[in-house]
Amino acid sequence: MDFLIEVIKVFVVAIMLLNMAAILTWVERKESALVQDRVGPNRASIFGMSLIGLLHPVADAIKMIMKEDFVPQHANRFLFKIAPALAVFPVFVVFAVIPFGDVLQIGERVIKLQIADLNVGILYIFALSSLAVYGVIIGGWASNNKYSLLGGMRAASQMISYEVCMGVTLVGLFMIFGTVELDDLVRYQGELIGGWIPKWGILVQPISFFLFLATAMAENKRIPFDLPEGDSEIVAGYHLEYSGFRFGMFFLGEYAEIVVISALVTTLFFGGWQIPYLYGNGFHFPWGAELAIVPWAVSLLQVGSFSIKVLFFCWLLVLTRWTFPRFRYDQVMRMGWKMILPLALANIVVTGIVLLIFN
Amino acid sequence: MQIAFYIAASLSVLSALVVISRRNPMHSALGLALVLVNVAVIFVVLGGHFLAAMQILIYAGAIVVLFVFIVMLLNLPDSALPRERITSTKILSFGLILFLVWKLIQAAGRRVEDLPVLNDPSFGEVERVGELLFTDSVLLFELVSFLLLGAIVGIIALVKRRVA
Repeated sequence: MDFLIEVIKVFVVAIMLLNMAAILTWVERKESALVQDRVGPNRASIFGMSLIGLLHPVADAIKMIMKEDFVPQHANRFLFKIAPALAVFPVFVVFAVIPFGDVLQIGERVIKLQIADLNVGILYIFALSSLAVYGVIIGGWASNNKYSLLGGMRAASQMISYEVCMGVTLVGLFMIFGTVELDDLVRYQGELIGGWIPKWGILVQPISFFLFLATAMAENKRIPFDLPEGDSEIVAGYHLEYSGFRFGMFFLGEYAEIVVISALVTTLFFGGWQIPYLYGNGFHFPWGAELAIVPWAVSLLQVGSFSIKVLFFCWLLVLTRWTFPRFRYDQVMRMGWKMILPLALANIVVTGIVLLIFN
Repeated sequence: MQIAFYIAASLSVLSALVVISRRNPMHSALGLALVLVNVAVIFVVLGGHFLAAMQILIYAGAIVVLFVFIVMLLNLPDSALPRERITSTKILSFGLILFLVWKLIQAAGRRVEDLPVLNDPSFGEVERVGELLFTDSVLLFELVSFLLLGAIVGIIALVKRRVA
């Protein structure tokens, strides 16, 4: 029975992630249309119903599956074929440690709404996302194309640089909460400062939040950090030679990564599934009022709160992509090493001093 | 868990063979990444989750990526790769490998369960590693940091001289 529950959890999370990635392609198009004052996709339809363009992701998927899976003549066949899988795999497994709710109680059984509660927590996420670069590098190298190679090299240098920053930006947060387990991080964010203000990560570590968001965007390789693709400079970079669903997997991985980043930002800085003043048996407001809620409804509210926060950040990341122009290569490097990293280190020192004074 | 160990161990040996047998440096580098990931799996089997995460994060995710980056940067054609020759270093390292094999045969009789660290329930946890770094191993930790600092200064000195 326990095993069955675990399997169901894995399936639900994986399917939600896949669906979200597909829907995000629609969000991206509609939002770009909004930004550019257009209508956006509204043509794909079944029996005359276009559902405000929601069928476009379906049409896309069918198109990509039907297309020829082409391998260039001088490409390294094995590595060329395996690269998209390597790019997608880390993005999906990372979600295993993200808690999407507290606990769900069905009868006597208490189900934890998180697939794996690892002691290493966030380090697992860092470790696996550091492997994500392999898909891009191998794809770029195995294609045997100059533009692809350039794209792969840009991806390698950019992702290595920002990985360092990404780890360092979060140290301040771990110093305050004293844990790297995501489950505990969310739990501690349910505490109140002075009985009124929820102790969310953004309130105790605001600088860390902005730096983390910037590095996460860079890891995602989207505009303004899309140098590895750089359509106008190196055509399409590392996935230039890919077609059919192998290209689709790079595409899918990118959108799934948006969801993962949003979930991470939510978990680390916006209280994860926490709703202020909501406890296991209902709301306890600081002004004394109380509102009892049955446990399963509390679980539902928490999952809903997590989902809404994640959706908000997905929206924000998509909006960012359609708002900024692309950085130049040297600008990205300078920002990573000379601006974000020193700021993150300074943040650690200041946090340490503040903690020393208050404890 | 035993099966996981055997799979990871044999995969790591196989990929280690790829590292030393292929002429193409890219294949060797990717083989090395695979070795490191498999060693991380062995750490997980033994309960060292923190060690496994660090192994992947630093070695597979950063150092080997830099190797790969350099290989891509040079992007040598097959004809430019040097021919294999037997040198004194290789003979020496072969001797060292024989020594290692002898040690392994000696150790084969011992069981993993008998190792003292593995009976410690907090083994491999983040807190335990952090505690050790700041108590028992603080001197070693600082010495290693000096070593790394020296390496960084050395690199900067080399690059500066080249530019001048």
